[in-house]
Amino acid sequence: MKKILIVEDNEQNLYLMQYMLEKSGYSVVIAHSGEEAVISAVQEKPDLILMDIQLPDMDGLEVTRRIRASEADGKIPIVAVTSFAMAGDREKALAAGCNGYIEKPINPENFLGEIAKYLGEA
Amino acid sequence: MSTQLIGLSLTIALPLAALFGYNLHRSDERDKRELGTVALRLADSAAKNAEFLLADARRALTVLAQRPALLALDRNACDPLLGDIQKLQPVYRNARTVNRDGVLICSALAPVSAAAAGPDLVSWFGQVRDSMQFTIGTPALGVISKRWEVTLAYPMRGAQGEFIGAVALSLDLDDYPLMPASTPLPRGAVAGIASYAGVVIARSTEAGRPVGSSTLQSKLRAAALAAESGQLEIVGTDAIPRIYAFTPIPRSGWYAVAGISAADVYAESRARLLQSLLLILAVLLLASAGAFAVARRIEQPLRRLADAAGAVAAGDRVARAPLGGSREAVALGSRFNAMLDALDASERQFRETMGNVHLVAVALDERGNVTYCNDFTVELSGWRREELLGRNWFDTVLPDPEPVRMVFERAMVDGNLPQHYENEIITRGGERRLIHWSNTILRDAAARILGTVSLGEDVTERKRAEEELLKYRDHLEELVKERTTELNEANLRLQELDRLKSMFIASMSHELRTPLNSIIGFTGIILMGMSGEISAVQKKQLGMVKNSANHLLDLINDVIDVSKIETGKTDLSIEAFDLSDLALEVKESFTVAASEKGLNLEWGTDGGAEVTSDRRRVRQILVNLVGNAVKFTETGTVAISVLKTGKGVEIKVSDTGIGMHREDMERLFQAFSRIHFQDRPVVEGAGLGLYLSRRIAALLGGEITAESEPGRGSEFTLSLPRTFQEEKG
Repeated sequence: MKKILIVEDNEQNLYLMQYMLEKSGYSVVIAHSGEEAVISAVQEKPDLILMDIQLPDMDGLEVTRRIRASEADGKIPIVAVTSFAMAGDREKALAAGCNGYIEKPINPENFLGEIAKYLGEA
Repeated sequence: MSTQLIGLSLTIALPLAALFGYNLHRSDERDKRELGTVALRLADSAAKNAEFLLADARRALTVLAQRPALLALDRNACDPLLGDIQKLQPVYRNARTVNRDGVLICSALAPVSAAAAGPDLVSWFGQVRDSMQFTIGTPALGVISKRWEVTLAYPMRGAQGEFIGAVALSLDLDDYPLMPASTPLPRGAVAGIASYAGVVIARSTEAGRPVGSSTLQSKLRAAALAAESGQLEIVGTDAIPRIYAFTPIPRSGWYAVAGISAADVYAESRARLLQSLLLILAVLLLASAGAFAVARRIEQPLRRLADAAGAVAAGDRVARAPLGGSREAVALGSRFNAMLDALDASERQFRETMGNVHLVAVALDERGNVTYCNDFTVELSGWRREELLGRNWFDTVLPDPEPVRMVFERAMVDGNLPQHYENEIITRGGERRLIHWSNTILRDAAARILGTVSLGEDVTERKRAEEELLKYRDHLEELVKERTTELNEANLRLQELDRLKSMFIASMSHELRTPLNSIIGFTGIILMGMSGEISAVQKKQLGMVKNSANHLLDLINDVIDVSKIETGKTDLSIEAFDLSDLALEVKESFTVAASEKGLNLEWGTDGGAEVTSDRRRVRQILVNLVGNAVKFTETGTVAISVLKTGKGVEIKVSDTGIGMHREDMERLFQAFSRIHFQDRPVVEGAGLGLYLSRRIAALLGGEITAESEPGRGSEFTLSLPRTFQEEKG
């Protein structure tokens, strides 16, 4: 069973993604903050990280950089999930080390398809 | 002047007179020395004359003594030659012959008795008979002539040389020419001939004494006996002291004497000198008088000229010299007056000029006292001209006189006056004026410093204006600085506002998306049946929620796009793609919507249309255009066609919708504009679609145009370049 780390501080968004992923048979690990996210990424070694960009302690890009700099290494695909849709947001995310970018609001019709793609399942 | 002339005359005359006086004395001395020489010369002349006379008479007697007629001693046959001889010289008196007894035989004059000739006979007959030689008798009163005569005699010899008689010739001593015609006796001089025996033979008439009877002064005779010739000063028989000279008359036993009265000679030379002196004095007097007259004719006009000049110099501008005196003086006077007129005119012009100019003109003497000031000086200073003139300039008008006085006094010594100077003066009313001076040193003809002439400009106002201007300039700079600061601040505030706006929009879109995330997400999973089965009604209602949520999301995205475009932060993602494929893709996304409205959706292309542009943005434009067409068309067809043109590609979206008026079409592309149609339902939308589309098209180097007619439908054309050019964006 593939393990997916969801980094998200908003409970509703967290629940939506967790519900959809667990319904689809994925194991979900949750981090509510950047710090938690870095620790979980090292400890849980997830197969995919869904990274919210706006976090209470630090932004997702910084978390991404730290994970990439940690021993956990950069093999874990990190997909930025953000409602930041301003100019340059996509480029900034990719530059920070993200593998992909999913814009909020997420579309349930193709969300799972995107996940499968980043997991290399599709 | 006349006194000077007279003085000059005297100066010349007095030494002349002194010289004459001295010469007078000198000539006395000299004459004394020279008189003797003159007397000797006169005596010599008399001696020579006598010698020639005697020699002539002797020759005549020699001739007669050999005349045979006379040698015959015949009273009845006398030689007429006697008469001829006697007529040879005026001084010759009677020529006659006597026999050996002294009896008169022949006579040139009427014969007289032998007795009558007795005394005469005594003096010479015995001598000639005894000496048988030429004999000169002693003077005697002539028997016939009754005049003093001296008889010369020559012996007549017989056949054996014996004495047979004598020829005698008497000389009239009264008529005797003592001096030769070539050497007359000077005035006051006397001459005479005397025998060494002391008998006077002849003398100049002045002596006034009969010849023969008188004797010469014994001193003179003694001297003549002592020396052959010589001179001495003695008082003559006429009681006149003379210088006498004497010299012998050869072969006569006589000597000649000449005497010159020193007094006479002196008197004469003195008279002559005196005459000269008088003449000189007369000339001098005349010259003086003439000079005085001339002086009066010249000096008086000159004095009048001088008076006039003095008056003018003292400031009397109308004073003129009265004309008079000589022609030259009148000419000089009128010239002088003309000059004064010219001077007056020039000065009047100067004064008028100086009066009219708004310059302070001041002349100072070497002590700094005012000698001239123009009207403006009076006007500016508040002092009256009479008050200023003669007063010390520095003490009167300078608030701080010492520095300026120092400069002035130094200039009076070394002549170095600053050409330009600026100092304040204080008016009588206490007002300070700043004067800018131009200075000149005034010198007389001998280059002696007389003072200064200065022209000053009142630069108070100018200075004030300059300072004001300077202040304004500074102030202006301050103002500009202030405004710039304000503008900068405003700009910063605006930039801050802009930043805040962008932040606000970003934040808003984020905050709006988060709840939309839940709405769209959960509606989606419910509709997908992920949360369990739902009824058809529930599905329809949830579908409406989903549509509204999606529309809201579109609005948010549009706002974000507008914000991006307006802040220039649109990120373009340029790639190569086929526009025909994209158009088809868009067409297909509207298939459901079109079929729901019963619209015919057409698509056409003239072949592959490869472009290099931002696919996502072009799609956004096409979705907007096709969406509008579908939205505003109730029946008919919406057609999408892709065409290649010379410049690039065109996509036309045409419909058979309601169409619109030309004036509405321009409003179409404005932000937040909505065209409201009567009897039509309001179509949802923020009115940003076409505005955004046109802005994006422009960003991509293209444009959107529209053609429409109310009731006939519309056609929108998107033109794009084949290849996007960065700089055009």
